Amino acid sequence: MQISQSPKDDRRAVRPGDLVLVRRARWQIVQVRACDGCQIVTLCGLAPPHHERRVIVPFDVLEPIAREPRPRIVGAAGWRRACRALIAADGPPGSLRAARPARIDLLPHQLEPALAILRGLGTRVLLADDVGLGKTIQAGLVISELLARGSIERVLVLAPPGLRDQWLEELAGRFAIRAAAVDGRMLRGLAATLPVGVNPWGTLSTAVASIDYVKRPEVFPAAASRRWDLVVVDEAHASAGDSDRRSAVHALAARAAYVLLLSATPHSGDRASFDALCAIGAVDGGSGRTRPTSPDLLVFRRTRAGTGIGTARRVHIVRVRPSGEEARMHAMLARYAEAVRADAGVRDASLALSVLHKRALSSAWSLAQSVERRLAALSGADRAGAGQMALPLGDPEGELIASDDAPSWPADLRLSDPARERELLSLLHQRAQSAAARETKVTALVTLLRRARQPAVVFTEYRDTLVHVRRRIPQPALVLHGGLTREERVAVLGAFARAPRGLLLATDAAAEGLNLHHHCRLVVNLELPWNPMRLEQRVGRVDRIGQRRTVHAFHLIADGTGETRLLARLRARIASARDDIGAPDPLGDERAIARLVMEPNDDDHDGGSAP
Amino acid sequence: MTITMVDLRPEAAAEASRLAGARAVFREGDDRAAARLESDATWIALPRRSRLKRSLGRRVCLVWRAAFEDGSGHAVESRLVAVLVEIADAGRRVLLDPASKRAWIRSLLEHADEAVRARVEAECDEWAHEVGRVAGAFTSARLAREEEIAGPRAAAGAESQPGLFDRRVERRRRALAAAAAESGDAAIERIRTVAAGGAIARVRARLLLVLVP
Repeated sequence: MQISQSPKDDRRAVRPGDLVLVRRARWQIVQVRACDGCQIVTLCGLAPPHHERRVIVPFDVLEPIAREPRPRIVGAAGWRRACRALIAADGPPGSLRAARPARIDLLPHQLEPALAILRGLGTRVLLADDVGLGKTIQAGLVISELLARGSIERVLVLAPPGLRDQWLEELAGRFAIRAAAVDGRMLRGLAATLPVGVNPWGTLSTAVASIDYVKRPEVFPAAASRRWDLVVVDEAHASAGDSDRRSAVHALAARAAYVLLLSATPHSGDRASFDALCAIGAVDGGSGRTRPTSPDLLVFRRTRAGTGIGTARRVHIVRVRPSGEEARMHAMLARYAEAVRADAGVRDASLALSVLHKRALSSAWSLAQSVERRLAALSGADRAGAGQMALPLGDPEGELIASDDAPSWPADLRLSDPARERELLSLLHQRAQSAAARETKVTALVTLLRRARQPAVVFTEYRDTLVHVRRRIPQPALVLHGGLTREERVAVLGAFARAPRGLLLATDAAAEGLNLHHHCRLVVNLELPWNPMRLEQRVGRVDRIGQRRTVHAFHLIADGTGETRLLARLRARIASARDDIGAPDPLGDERAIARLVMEPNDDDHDGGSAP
Repeated sequence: MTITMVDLRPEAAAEASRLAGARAVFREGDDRAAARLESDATWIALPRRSRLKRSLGRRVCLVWRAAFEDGSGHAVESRLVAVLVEIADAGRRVLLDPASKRAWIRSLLEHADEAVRARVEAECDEWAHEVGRVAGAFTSARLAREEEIAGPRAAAGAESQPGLFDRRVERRRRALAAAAAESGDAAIERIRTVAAGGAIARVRARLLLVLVP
């Protein structure tokens, strides 16, 4: 007898638990899902090693094996096993099924989002917990729970390129979910095995892809042509604001039944950006505005203190006295800034000038690089490339991150007299190059690492600084920046994990979201980031659940520069931002911070608790 | 759109505690035994350990399961109910005779099927009400979202391309086209499928395990 040839007519004919004969082997039905007029039946082999297999009815024939109709006496061992399994699976309505077999520690706060979804409290969720509280695990729990219940079929995880492999490992290792890492190479390979006209995205049940890859005009239409049941957006703050990236993410999420947004730093001080983040996936009909009837966004914002998790963290402020060359460089930069301000008149050039100050505080070398490019542009040597936007063709796989590249010279940053600008910039370039020959922060870093004698991660904002530091320090160092391919990143992280006293030089963009706490507890910030949440992101790489030792964070502060004022400001901002996710302006904008750093203040002092 | 902060700490703590207990009980291979039981009739065990026999005394332990199934016959929610049945004097004498023991057990189970099942199901009424509430809320949230997605869509409008490589308008247009491509019938079918998947039915309580002294 054959069963369930017509699933619509007789859906109950195939049931989980039934024994069937398929392709001359005995199986037990584990799960039955309706799909496009067919039924996808998951089978488990009755003979060891109990492999699982999926077949599609009616294309495969399932022949039922008759059940034993009468109660029977069994051995005590089998009876006990079955009894234990039943007790382990027993729970109140709405309890989690996928959490017991998952390889996770049972931390109550990590169960809350999945419980909230099962209780029907919402379908769009923002996980905005502090760095290191396990947002990936919470998302994995939601995915595995909805999959286990048959509520979803297709999952798309959108993550920064550097986190794709980490997502794959977490989903496979902790939740036994086999996801596919999607990039150009993978899609080309898949398309080659499929009939012409079949969309490879449609064949993927769980896909992990880089946001920057999916947003590509040649990729997006195929990715969006099939509906995803659940869209997870990791580091969702990077997709906030009125950006091309946000537009792509929103278009995918707005058609998904469930949306999970993950960000430890959802509010960077820009209220409009925060609102845009919260509206990702809200059904707006393409108008860009959410409907008044749009369901709520569920927000989970838990702190380390609130959850009582985390090891001790010690923050050390290392004040570095700038050398004579560095002091002269800063003085020359101040002179150039003064000239720009005088020339600008009513135009506020503080934000444009802040680009140069950021570079100078990062390293004299990175400032020298920026000034050198500007001088080349002024002299006409770079005329061919000046004002010409680069074609987005250099990264076909969507693996590279450009945000740690040197920033382009702001259009506002100029003098009306090109000759005078050339003169001032030449002097600035000369002094920056002199200072770069022996940077005091690099010297301080070498001393610190020699004393620490343990693995360390050194953070900086710019790739230029990273490359310069690597050249200047005597010990071998691994570098992690946005210009590395996926394979290179994996190799670097693997080498860092293996090295007993490894040193990893990383940019913020490349290291965002990584788990480095298993083999490292020491973080050094070569310069202070202007966005305080970025500081938390850096230390959060090693200060995470699972870290067993005290975490040490070292901030190298250039004494007597704007960095000392920035430090005090960051402390206050971090404290207030932690308290209120919905604060109108918890962090301040970059313009205010730019003024703070550039304009001398009498109250340069180091007091209170460190961030 | 409103933002809702949710606090499920008490529920999460209780769930973590339940899961910790489940992990402590569960052993490798237990799920395979349970899978065999699913496709089998009631399993009866006759304990040999004196300690278990002593604690069982003159009682039979029946383990029932009340459940809700979805349209595919998949158990969505279930609850175990253990019932201890005191054996009358006549039964005790029968248990001493291995030959008549099996017949006695069979008659006991037939009797239990009539007398005990009703009490087990009555015992689960409150639980069943709670299952209905939780499952209803879960399905309602999903249906509300699906109806929003399937609802009337705004026109793309005549927006201009803001920059050479800025694809936002193009992307919005394509998303709308993709949404429109899913015809009204398909959207209704999808909502119907979600609603059907969320429709769960209470099934008769089933006697899974029996422990006889």
